[in-house]
This record gives sequence, C-alpha cells and structure tokens, in this order.
Amino acid sequence: MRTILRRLQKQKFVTSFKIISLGIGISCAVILFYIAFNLYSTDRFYPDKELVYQVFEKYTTPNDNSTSRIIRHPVAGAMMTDFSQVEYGTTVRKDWDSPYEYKQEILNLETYYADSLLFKVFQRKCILGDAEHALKSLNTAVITKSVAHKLFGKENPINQTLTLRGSRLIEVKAVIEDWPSNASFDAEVILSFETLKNEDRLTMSWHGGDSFTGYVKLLPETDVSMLRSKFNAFVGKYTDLKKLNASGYNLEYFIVPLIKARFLNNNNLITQILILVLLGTLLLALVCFNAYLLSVSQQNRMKKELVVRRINGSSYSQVLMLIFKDALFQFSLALGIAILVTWNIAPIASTFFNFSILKIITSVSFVSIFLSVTAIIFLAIFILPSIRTMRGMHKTKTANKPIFADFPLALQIGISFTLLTFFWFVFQQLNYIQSFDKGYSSEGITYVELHNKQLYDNHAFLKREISKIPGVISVGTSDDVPLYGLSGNIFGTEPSGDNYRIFRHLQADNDFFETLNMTVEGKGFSNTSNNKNEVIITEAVADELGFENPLYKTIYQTRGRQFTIVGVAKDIVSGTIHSKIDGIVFQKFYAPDTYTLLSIKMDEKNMLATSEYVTRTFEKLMPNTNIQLKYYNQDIEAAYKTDFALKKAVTFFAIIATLLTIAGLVGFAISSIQKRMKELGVRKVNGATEWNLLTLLNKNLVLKAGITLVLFIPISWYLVNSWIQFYAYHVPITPIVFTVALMLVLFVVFVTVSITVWNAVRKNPIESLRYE
Amino acid sequence: MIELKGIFKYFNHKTQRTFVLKDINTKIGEGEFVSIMGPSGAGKSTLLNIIGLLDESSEGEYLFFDESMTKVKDKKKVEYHRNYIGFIFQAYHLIEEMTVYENIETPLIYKGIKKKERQAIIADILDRFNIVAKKDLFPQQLSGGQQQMVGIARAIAGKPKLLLADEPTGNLHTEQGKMIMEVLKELNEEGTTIIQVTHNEAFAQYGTRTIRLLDGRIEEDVKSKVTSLAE
Repeated sequence: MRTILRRLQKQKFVTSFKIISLGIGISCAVILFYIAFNLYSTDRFYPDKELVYQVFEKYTTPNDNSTSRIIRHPVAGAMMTDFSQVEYGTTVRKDWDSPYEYKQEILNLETYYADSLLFKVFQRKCILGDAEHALKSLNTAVITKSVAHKLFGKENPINQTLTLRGSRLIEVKAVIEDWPSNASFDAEVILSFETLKNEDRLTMSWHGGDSFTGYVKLLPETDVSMLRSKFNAFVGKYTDLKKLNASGYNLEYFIVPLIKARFLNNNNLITQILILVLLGTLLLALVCFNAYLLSVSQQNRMKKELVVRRINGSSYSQVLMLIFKDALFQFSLALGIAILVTWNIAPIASTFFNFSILKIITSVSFVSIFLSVTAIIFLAIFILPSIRTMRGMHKTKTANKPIFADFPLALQIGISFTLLTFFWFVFQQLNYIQSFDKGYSSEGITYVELHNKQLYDNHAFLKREISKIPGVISVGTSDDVPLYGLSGNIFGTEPSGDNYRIFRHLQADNDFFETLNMTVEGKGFSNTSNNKNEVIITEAVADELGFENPLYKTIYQTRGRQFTIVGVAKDIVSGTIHSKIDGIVFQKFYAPDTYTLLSIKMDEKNMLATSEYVTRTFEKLMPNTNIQLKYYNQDIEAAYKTDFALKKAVTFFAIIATLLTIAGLVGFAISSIQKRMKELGVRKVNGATEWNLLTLLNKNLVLKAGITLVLFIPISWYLVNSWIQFYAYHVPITPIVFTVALMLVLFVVFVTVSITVWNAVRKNPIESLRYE
Repeated sequence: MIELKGIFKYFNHKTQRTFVLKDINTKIGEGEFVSIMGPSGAGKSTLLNIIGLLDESSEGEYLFFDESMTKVKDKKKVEYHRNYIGFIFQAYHLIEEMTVYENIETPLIYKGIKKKERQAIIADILDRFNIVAKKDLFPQQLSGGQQQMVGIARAIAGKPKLLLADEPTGNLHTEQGKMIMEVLKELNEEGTTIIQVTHNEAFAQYGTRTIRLLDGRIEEDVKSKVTSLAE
C-alpha cells in the first residue's frame, strides 16, 4: 500500500487528472443512462405487464386518418363483455385542472377519473381503505401515500374531506402506494366516474366527444392476433359502420401492449432515449479513452519496476496482483469521486426529469447500471493496460506503426467536438425560446380564475370593480388563458362538406385583446350588442381556411352554426413552441356556465402593491371564495420548466464536457510526449530549436484533429438535428456553429499540446536521454 | 578551442551542497582526441555535458573558440549544436520511428541544408560507413554496432568541429568497440576534435590525451603514450 501511494504521489498530476475526470465522467454517464433506461422502462414494473394492453382508435375521414389513444367511453368495457379473452377492461379520463382545498390551502394534484376495475388492470397495493369500492361511489377518492402525507401528515386520511374547485366535497376512501417514476399512469388522486358524471356534461356514448383512454387485461396465453381480427365485427356491432364507410369514413380499434404503447406515435420519446444514450456513451468514451491513455503511460513507467521485481524472484501472478492492487486503489478513488459527483448532479437531473434523488440512487436498476458501467471501465482501462504491459505488448512500435494508433485520440477529439456542437445548439435554442415572440405581451399581467358559480356569475361586476383599482390598466374576460394550450373546436368555410378543420377556441371580450396587447385588424367585437356569433380569428386560421381577406366572411361549425369574422389577430403562442402555433378562433365572450378568467394588466412599477390591492378587493367583494392571483410570466416559465432545467443541465454538462475534453487532450499530450521524450532529446542535441519541436508535434496532431473533426460533422449534425425536432420553432442549424466549434477544438488541441510540449522541450535533453 | 577555468558543478540539498565537479581547469586544442576517464560518479559525463552545452556549470568560465559559454542564450546554444558540436551516446539514441537515412538526415534538416545537398551528404556518409544497404531499415532492425555506426554518421553529418562521445562503446562487444574506435580515430585524423568518456583503458589510448577524474577533480592529465596500443 505504501508503495502504491508513493508511486501515485510521484505521478500525482497525472493520477489526480485521471481519477477526477473518470469520476465525473462515470457519474454523468450513469445518470444519463439511468434517465434513458427509466424512459425506456415505462410501465415495465407491473407484474402482469405482458397481459395489459392499451386500446387505440383509428379514425379515417375522406381527407386523412388519425390514430389516437383517445377512445370512446364504452369501448374497453364492451371488449370485456364481448371477448372471453379480455379479463378486465378499464377506462380513465384525466382531469386537467384540479385545485383541491384543504384547511385554507390550495393544492393542484394530478387527478384522473376511473372506473372500479382500474386496479384490476394496474395493480397497486392498497395501504388503507377499499380502493375498488371508492371508485364506485359518488364524490369519493383514492389518493397516493405521498399525497396523504402531504395533506394530512400523521392524521388518518380515511374519511377526510377535500374541496375540489371550490365547491365539490370529496371524501378520501382509500390510500394506495405511490406510482414509480416510470409509470405512464401516475395519478395522485383518482375519483370515481360517478363523480365525473355528476360534475360535467359528458358524452359517454359510442358517439364519442370526450377524452377517455382505455386499457384491457387479457387472460394468459391469449392469441392476440386472433383477438385483433375480431375487432372489426366488434365495432360494427356498436356503430353503423356501413353508413360510415359509404361516406368515406371508417372507425377501427386495435390494442398495443402497454409497455410499447408509450412509444406509439411518439418518435420524440425514442429520439430522446437515443440522444441520452448517445450522450452518455460519448461522455463515457471520452473519459475512458483519456484514462486509458494515462493508464498506459503510467504502466509504461511501472514497467522497469516490474522487470526488477521479476528478476528478484517475483512470480507472474505476484506481479499481476501488484498491478491489480494498484489499479483497484485508483479505481476506488475514482468511484468515490463518482458517487460524490452523482450525489450533487442527481438533484439537477431530478428537476429536469421529475425524479426524486433518493429514488434514483436507491433504485435497483440505477445500482445495476452503475455497477455494470464501472465494472466495464475497471476492466477496460485499468486491467487491460496492465495485462498488455505484463505481456510486453507495450514496447514502442517502430517500423510498422499501426494504422489505428491514433484512434483513441481521433475519437476523443471527435467526441469533444460532437458534445460541444450539441451543447451549443441546445443553448442557442433555449435562448431562442426565451426571446421568441409570443404574439402578445405577458409583462405585468396577472389572472384570476373565477372557479365557482358565485364568482363567475358575478364576473362583470368583479371586472368593473377591479378596473377601478389604481395601478390596474385594463381587465379582460375569457374562458381560458393561452398558457397551457387551448381546447379545440371544428370550423369550416361551408355549412357542410369536407372543409372543416380543428382550431383552438377561446371565448374573450374586446378588453382581453387590449390587456394582452394583441394586434387585431378589423373592428373587433361590438361592445354593445350581445352577438354571440362574432369571431376574431388569427392569421393561421385565415391561411388554413384559404381566406385572403377574411374580414366579415362567414365560417361555420359542424352543427350549422355560423359566425362572422370581425377581426384578424396576429398569431399567438397558446402553449409552448414545442408544437406548431395553432390557429385560434376567438368567440365573443358571453354569459358563461363554466370557468371564467379575468386577465388583469397592471402598472409594472407598482405591481406588488397593486396585486395586494386586487386580492384584498376580491376578499372584500366575495368573502371566503379563496381566489389566487397568478402571473402570466410565472406560468410561462412553468410551461418551459423542463426546458429551463435542461438549460441548467446543459450548462453544467457543457462545462464538464469542456473540462473533460481539455483533460483528455492533456492526458493524450502527456502520454504521447512521454513516449517521444527520447526523440525530442535527440532532436534537440541535433540542433532542433524548441519552436522546431513545437511545430513538429503540433503539425501532426492538428492535421489529424482537423481530419477527424471533418469526419465527425455528420454525426454532430445528426445529433443536433434529432434533438431540435422537439421544437416546432427552432434556430437554424447553421454551418457557422460547426466551423467555430471546429476552430475552437483545434485551438484547444493546439494550446493544450503546445503547453505540454513546451514544458517537455524546455527540459534539459540530457534528462530524457540519461535513463534510456 | 576549449578552455575551462575554475569550473564547479554542485547541487544544493537543503543545507548540504554536493559537488560533482571541483575546480576544473584545462584547455583542449583543435584536432585533439581527448579521453576522459574515471570511476563512476567522478563527473565525466557532467563535464562532457557542460562542454557540449547540454548542462551549465555552477561556477567558473567556459570558453569555446574564445567565446564565453557561461550564461549563453538558448538560441546561441542551438547554433552551436547545429554547426560545431556532434554527439554520440552510449545508448545510440536513434529515433526509432525513423529509418537509418532519416536519422542521419535530421541534423541536416535543422541546419537548413537543401534536399539535394542533403541527399549527396548522406550518400557519402552511408558509403563511407558501409551501410548503404541499411538505409531503409529502422534502428531495431540493426545490431548494436551498426546502430552506433548510424549514431556516428548522424553526429558527423553536419561536419561538426567537436565530436562528443559519451561511452560510445559501452553497449558494444570488443570487436564492435574496436571498429567504432577506428572510425573515431579516422575522423580525428581528418581534423575533428573528439572528446570521449570511457571506462575502457585500451579504448582511451586511441586518444591523444587522457584526463582522469576522481571525485570531481582532475587527477591526471597526460598525453597518450602509445596511440596505437589497441592496434
């Protein structure tokens, strides 16, 4: 042990370089692999995963066809009734906005409605109460363990009451285990369909219209293809397929294994997994090559000692053991650093991918990935060079220099370049998001959800009162805000026919446009008349419907209702720029029977004081209604939460990658120059100047690096291009980034090699020649 | 040609000073063939390195062609290495990635000699040392004697006035050693000043003068009695 420490201390620079970079690299790569694995292994934790299938609907019109996971409500249940092979069928529906109130505190929880067979299909341990029974009754809920803990602490959650959307009282009847982070169905609260029926006007028939998803659990050894072949007759039993087919429409159902369902129609997910694996591999390869080169260099230095030991009677296995101990010691240090770094990076990864740090580090799959990766590294970069040294394979090759001798260097430089360009584009894209023109101004704008009948029945009165507050510039009324995507509605240019398209739909008054500082061409909604048939459309709607001059033209809904276009607004982003900007049809706001929102523009200078004033006014006008003032900008930030987390992660990984790149190059330079120290000495005594030697080593290396980089451009381009497809609007992939990155890497190669060479050539040549 | 005045070389270790050379005073004229002898640790190689501008003395003055080499700049040293001084090493120190031809060519390239002229010089040298057939081989494909022959060829390619050889026969058997010494003697007769470090009494006698060092001091400095003893 003492000898090992002395040996390492003698080469402390190289050793610490190797160990630290390896530790960081292992840690980053393992986290990336784990995230990829987690995405890939979605839903694989269910014991009966092979038997559970998701039901998909394929709807064909004369113009196109679409495959959707949204199905009609009775489908899954009917499959269970009609097919003996289907053991259970369950249907769920996501609730998009679920504020729960408990002891004056409001909490938004991921809520689903489901039937009582849910837990027959998705097995989950029930900790308290009767989950199945809870999903049969009205206004009863099943909650997860962590929600129970969050809401009630140590109190018994059973029979506790929550208030949903300000009015509906929900009683907790069962508590289940939390879903793992890789569950596609991850409800925090599950309510019965009885509750849903009572709350909404739902279309729960075969005509469809509402967003249900369905799952079936088959009996073991079911012939799935045989079952699928019966689906056409099944659809025919419940719908008039002949009539549909005659007019060019068709309706089909098919089932996909649950573990594959998430990948259906979701190329993004596959690309995301591939990118993560690729990045992890590149990062790992980078540090491995680096450590390998340094290991070889260290082993070469150790060769003399090994020979002396052999001469003095040490057996082959004893020498091997010595190398092994040395390697194990260094490896343990690297592992320690890897664990330390993981502990610090994991929270960043957690914010991005919604994992809990504890779940990551204590999960069996994470530990398995960690151990496998590290074992491979240990073998590849510590033991392999040792064995090669033992066999004397590391004598300097002379006459026949292998063609792949520079392969590790080439790969290292290529990987650095790929990482650099990738991170650069990610960074550019994330900056682009921040500066993207949304089409409206969100500065100084807050909004209030009038979430119960008392509030929305009084929306006009509240609007008037709030407008009077000093510091409030304007107040607009709408039935939604363009922050998380809007609901859709079908419009066409003819009362009937095939020209119908789905557009986003929003009810708003004239003040809404003013509040959001949206540009509208045309007269806009009339303030006096209560004409519900006026609409303002965005430019995208006009384009899609083929209007050159849309003002005062008429558009239709499928049921024949007609609207006059009274304004054309500039396009606005109603969700995030991950998806294309959809056309929006703004219908004139009329007396609502559901949600209403007030958007309030305030003087930015006194925003805090005005916000407080507004809240107090609400409390005074409508006591005990518990309203919350929300900020547009905060919600926009939340919508891009993962992107901003990615930006942080990218900055972090970019710094690490750059450091590792430099470390790699220094490692390479040290190792290759060390091999050539004698040559440098000889050249020097033969009259070479330091500059001659610098040029000699750099010329060769920079040329090779240049060629490598050019070869790596397509790989980098592919990686960047795949990632950027996540965004409907993105920065162009310009050659300039590749050129600059190329120059930058070459510059780093040049500087790193030069500094190392310079230090080497400044030494007295006799130093290097004496011990040869 | 060479004048050493009160040359000291020492290393300081904390409070202790270790002397390698102590008060070396001597002159070496053009055309001499000097053998430096002495037991291990006597300072032979250090003295040779100081003369060859690969090392610097701690005290004293070194004149080379009447010019002081004390505190001489690196650029100037390179000039001397290119045009005045050639080195031969015990371990040959050939560049293993280069052929015999390329090894001999190296100092000529640094000297800035044009390709055509280089080819002519190398052809002459290869011919002279009888290694034309070996010109495309790599050092590892040669015997020790042949490698040292290439080492000498490389050292004299630039026509140096001073040839410094640090135990040139140390790694060779007697016959090969003799062959190398014959070559050095011939070069000396042609006018090249040679300083060699050797442990071999017989080979020392090839020189015209022998300097014996002991504990860093010159113990004896004598003209060789029988220059043809080894013959």
